[in-house]
Amino acid sequence: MLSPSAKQQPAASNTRTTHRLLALVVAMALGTSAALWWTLRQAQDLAQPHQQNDLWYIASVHNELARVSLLARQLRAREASAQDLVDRLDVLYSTLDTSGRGPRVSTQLREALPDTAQGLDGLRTQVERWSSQAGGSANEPGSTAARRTQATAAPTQALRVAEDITRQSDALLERLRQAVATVHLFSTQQTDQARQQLHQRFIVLSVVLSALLVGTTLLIARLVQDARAAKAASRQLAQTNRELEDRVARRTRKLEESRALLGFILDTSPSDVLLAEVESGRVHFINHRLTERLGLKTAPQTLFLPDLLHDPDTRQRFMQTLDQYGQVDAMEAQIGTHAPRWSSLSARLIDVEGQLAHLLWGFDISTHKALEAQLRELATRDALSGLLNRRAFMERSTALFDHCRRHGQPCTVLMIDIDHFKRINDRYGHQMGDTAIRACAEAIGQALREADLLGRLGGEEFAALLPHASADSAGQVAERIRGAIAQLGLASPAGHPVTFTISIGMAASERHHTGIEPLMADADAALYRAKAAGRNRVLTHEAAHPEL
Amino acid sequence: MLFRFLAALRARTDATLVALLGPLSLCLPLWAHPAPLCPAPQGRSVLQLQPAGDGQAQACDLQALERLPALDITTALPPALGMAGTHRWTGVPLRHLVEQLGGGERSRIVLMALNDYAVAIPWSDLLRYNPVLAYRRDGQRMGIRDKGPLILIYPFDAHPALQQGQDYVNRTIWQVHAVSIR
Repeated sequence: MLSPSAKQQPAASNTRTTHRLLALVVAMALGTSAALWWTLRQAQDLAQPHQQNDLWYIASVHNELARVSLLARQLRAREASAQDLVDRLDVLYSTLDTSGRGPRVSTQLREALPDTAQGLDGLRTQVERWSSQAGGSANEPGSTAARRTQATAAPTQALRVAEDITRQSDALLERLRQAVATVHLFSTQQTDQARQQLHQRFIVLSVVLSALLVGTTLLIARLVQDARAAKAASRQLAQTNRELEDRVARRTRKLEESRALLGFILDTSPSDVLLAEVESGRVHFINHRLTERLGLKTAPQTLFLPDLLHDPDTRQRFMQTLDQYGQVDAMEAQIGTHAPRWSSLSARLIDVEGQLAHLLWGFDISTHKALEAQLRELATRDALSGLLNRRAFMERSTALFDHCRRHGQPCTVLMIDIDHFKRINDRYGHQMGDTAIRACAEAIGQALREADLLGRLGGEEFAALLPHASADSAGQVAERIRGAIAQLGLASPAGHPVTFTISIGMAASERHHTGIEPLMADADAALYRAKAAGRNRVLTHEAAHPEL
Repeated sequence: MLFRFLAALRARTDATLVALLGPLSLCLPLWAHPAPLCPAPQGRSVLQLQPAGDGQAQACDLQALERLPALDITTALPPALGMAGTHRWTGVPLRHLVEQLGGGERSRIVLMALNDYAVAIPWSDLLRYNPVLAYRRDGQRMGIRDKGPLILIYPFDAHPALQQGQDYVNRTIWQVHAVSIR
């Protein structure tokens, strides 16, 4: 492991090296640009050829003057015409004329050799004078014919000019010969200067090129170094990568093992476990127990939690709570579709891989529920007759009466009591009494419809509530019950036939009956009257019609 | 003496032949019997012509040259020649002169100037650039002081290749006074 200071040091030196390299590249670019600009300027200068041969110029002047001198002698000997002299003088003049020549001949020669230049200027003036004297109109470039006539017209003038030329030419030629030598020296010096200049330029160029070479070499060295470092780094990286991969593989294996263990634990747990996505229903986990519970052979790919809940009301309540609070704890509900079973369900709304998911834990409580149902049955039934006991009858008849009243339907209460039940007990024993009560209950039950309620209020007293029944139809039912009881063929353990009768008080619901109790009280009053009237009869409560 | 007589006889025979067979001579190869380019010069001779082979030298005046086929070249000259500006140069195509003198592909064509400057012109130049032996600049004759009366002009503006080196600067010869074919 590197210490922090050791880490920073190479970074700082790296930056410095980069800056240095950048400066080197910039310097190289600048140097190359300057050299290129300078070279291009030189190239531009050399793009046009220059006729700058001073030696040819001065030699031509010498030659032409020599010719003019020769011609002058010939003219005096009458061997040449005046026109020839004029032409030659023109040639000499044009040779002397430096106005249109390259810059070196006119200016540099004048600057470097002022004496020679002055001498040449003087010669030009002299030639001009000779020409005008010999030709007259030599100044203006007229036709040769015109000049010829003038020249022939003035041979004496030409002769005089020729004499003048002959007189002066030797000295002039001597001076020109010296000038040729001087110009030669000057020219060689000029050439040598040009050579030295070129030499210097090439040296400058080689210095720039050497600098470029050095810079390029440095850059290449740096590149090679970097490439080597990169190679080493990549090798190290590959090594580290391999180690990391090994470690990851080891961890993954461990993780898979613990995952398998967790799966095993969950699978063998006595609870139902489900983890499924809310939106897609994708099942992340479902244990065997729940799979079996759902009647499936293999774990389903998709499963929606609400579909598991059998009862629509419970489903709505469950999902509402889960959505609102994110969790549901120990809610009792039936799960499964075709054979629903009671479970105590806990659920969580959690985030799995960025998606909302339902986590469900369920404990089977169907055994508890069955037991509970059994207990409830025990609490509502009379053990002897199997009918509803008083409390249960009152509860259910209250609900049924309210239902009828709400829908404007008539209902009728029958209060039934066995006549002289004490005598049966006294004569044939309590067991016979119990038998009588059971038989009575059975007979009454057979006479009633499915929707009618029947309960044993206590002792030998029964009550029945007949919904949707008018006083007339209820009266017929009551008479049928009374008839059936009278014809019960019971026998005592000793073999004696046992007969008994019942009295029935009947009350049909009226507007003023606000609950079941007043109606039952009316029926009770009718029963009392039936008892008083001699028993074994059916009497209807007739408070609303006392005259009947 | 005998030679001079023979030469005179031959010249007279030639003249007679040309007079008699004038139209026919156009069909004959020109170098077989070169006719004089400048018959009977009136004015002052400005150009000496030395034909191919052992032909006799001819002298031409400007009037005779102006009677030959003319060609105009409008061009500027390289700065090194010291003649600034674009001018219209009028003159005889050198190729015509050379052909009339019996010159051709194998000939050595040399132009000489009044100041003893001399230069050889390759035959290929005549084919490729058709330079003109100019006697007028912008319609005016040129005096000796103006580098006249004859200048060999190449069409520099029409051929950028001509502007590259010293060769065509050297071949632009002024004050031409002799053309020699060997």
